[in-house]
Amino acid sequence: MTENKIIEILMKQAHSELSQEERAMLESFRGQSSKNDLFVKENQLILTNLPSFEESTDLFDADKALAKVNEIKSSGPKLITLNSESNNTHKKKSRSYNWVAAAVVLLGLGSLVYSFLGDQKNTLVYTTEGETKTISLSDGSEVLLNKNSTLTLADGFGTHLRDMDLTGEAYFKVRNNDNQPFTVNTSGVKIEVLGTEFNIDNNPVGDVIEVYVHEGKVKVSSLHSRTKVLLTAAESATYNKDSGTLLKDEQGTVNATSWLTKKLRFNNILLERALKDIENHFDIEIALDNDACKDEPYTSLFNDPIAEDVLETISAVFDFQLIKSGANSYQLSGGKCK
Amino acid sequence: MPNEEQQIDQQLIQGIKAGNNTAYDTLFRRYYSYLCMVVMRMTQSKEQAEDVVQEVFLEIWRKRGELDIKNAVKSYLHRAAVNKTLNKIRGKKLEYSQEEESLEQISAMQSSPLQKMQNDELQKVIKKAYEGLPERCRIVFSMVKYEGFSYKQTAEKLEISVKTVENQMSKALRILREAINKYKK
Repeated sequence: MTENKIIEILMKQAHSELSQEERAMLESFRGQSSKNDLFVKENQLILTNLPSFEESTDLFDADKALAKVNEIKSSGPKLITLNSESNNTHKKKSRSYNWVAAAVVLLGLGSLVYSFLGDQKNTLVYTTEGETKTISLSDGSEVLLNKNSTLTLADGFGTHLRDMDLTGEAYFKVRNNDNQPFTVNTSGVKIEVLGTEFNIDNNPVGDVIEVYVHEGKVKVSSLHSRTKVLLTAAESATYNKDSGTLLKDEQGTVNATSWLTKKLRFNNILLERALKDIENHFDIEIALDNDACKDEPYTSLFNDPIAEDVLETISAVFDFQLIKSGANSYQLSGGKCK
Repeated sequence: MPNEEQQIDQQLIQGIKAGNNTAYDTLFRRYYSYLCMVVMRMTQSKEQAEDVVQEVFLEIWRKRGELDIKNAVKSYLHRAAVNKTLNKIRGKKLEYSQEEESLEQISAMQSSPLQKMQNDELQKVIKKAYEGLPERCRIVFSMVKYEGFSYKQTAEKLEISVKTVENQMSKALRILREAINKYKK
C-alpha cells in the first residue's frame, strides 16, 4: 500500500537525507490528488510537533533512586532459587524429549538461580535472546521458558492458587491437582488446565497467541469475546490480538514445539503452512513468489537443521531458486507447481 | 575528538572500573533522569522507567570489571536502557487497545481552528494522543521516531514482521491525525 511507503519515507526524512528516488516518490504522491497532499501535510505537521518529552525529566528523583540503588549495590543482588533437585524426574522423560537433555545441562551449570528486582510480591523469571530456562514450580509442575520470555507467578502460587502471567513462549508440564486449576494468563487469553503438557506462544508485539496441547485437556478462553475453546492432545488454537477472535486450528501445528525438540516435521501439509513453521522456527521471513505453489502438499523431517538446509531441500523439491534477500529473509522464486 | 562532557564521562567510567563509589554516584546523577525520560516515551510508565534505569545502573556496577565503553558513554547508556526496555516489553502484558478511550479524551479538550492554533496547543493535543496510543502501536512508533530505527531494525528487535511495523506505524499516524482533525472542529 502506497500510504505505508509514504509514511516510511516521512519517518526517514526526520532522521536523514532522502534518496532521489524517495523524494521523487513523495512528490509524485503529493501531485496525484489534493487528498494525498493533505495526507502528507498532516503527517508532517504531527511529526514536527511531537513532544520531545524533555520536560518529563523533572518527574524523576535521581537522589532518591540513587539511595535505593546504593542499598542494593552494597547488599548484593537478591537471589531466589526456583529449583532444587528434580534431576531424577528429568532423566525419566529424556527418552521421549530431546529438550529434557538440554534442561539437565542447564541444571548442571547452576543456571536456575535468578536475581530479581522490583515488585517483591510476584516471582518473576525472564529469559533474554538466545537463552532458555527450566523452572520447577513448587506445585511439582515444570515450565520450559523459551528466549525473550517472562513468567510471573502470582502471589501465593502453590499455596492457594496456581496462577501466572506469560509473555513470550513456554512449554508447560502441569502436575495434576483437581482442586486447584493451573491458569496461565496472556494478553487476551486465559488458559486453564488440570494436568497436561502444552505450549503457549505469545510474542507481545506479534499479532497472534498460539496454544498447542501435547497431552491432556486445556480450556482456552478469550478475555474479549468470551469465546472458549477446548483442546485435547495434538490440537491447537490461535488467538488474533487485532480481531479478538479465538479459533481452533484446522491443520494441527505439530511444529509448535520445534523450539524444544529441534525437529521440523511436515506430514503432507500445505507448503504455505510449512513455510510459516520454518519462519517461526528460525525467526526468518520467507517470500514465496509463485502463488500456485502455496497449496502443494509437502512431507519431510529435519533433525536440528539450519535454515539454509531446509530451504535448499524445499527448493530442490519444487524447483525454486533460493535467494537470500536480507540478513533474515529469503525468497523462493520460480518453481514448478500444478 | 570527544568533547569535554564525553571526557568527563570516560573518567567516571575509569573510576567505576576501579570501584570508586563517588564516580558511580556522579554518573548516576548525570544521566538518571534523562534515561528515565527515554524509557518513558516508549512505555508511558514512570515506575517501569525507573526500574529499567536502576537495573541498567546496577548492571554497570556488577559488571564494572568488564566495562569496555569506547564511544560516548551517554549513547551507551541510552542503548542499554532501550534494550532493557525491549526485554521488559517482551515480559509484559501489552494492553489490548485504548483507541476509543484516547480519542474521547482528546475530543474533550476544546478548540479553535487549526490555522489559529498555537503551536504549543497543537503539541499538547498530539502529546495527549501519543500517550493514549495502544501500547503495541506506541512502542513501534517510538522506536522509529525517537530511537531512529528503520522499519527493518524495528521488526528485528521486536521479532515481528516488517508488515506489522508498517501497519502499526500507519495506525499510529491515523490516530494522531484523527486527534488533530477532531481538535480542528
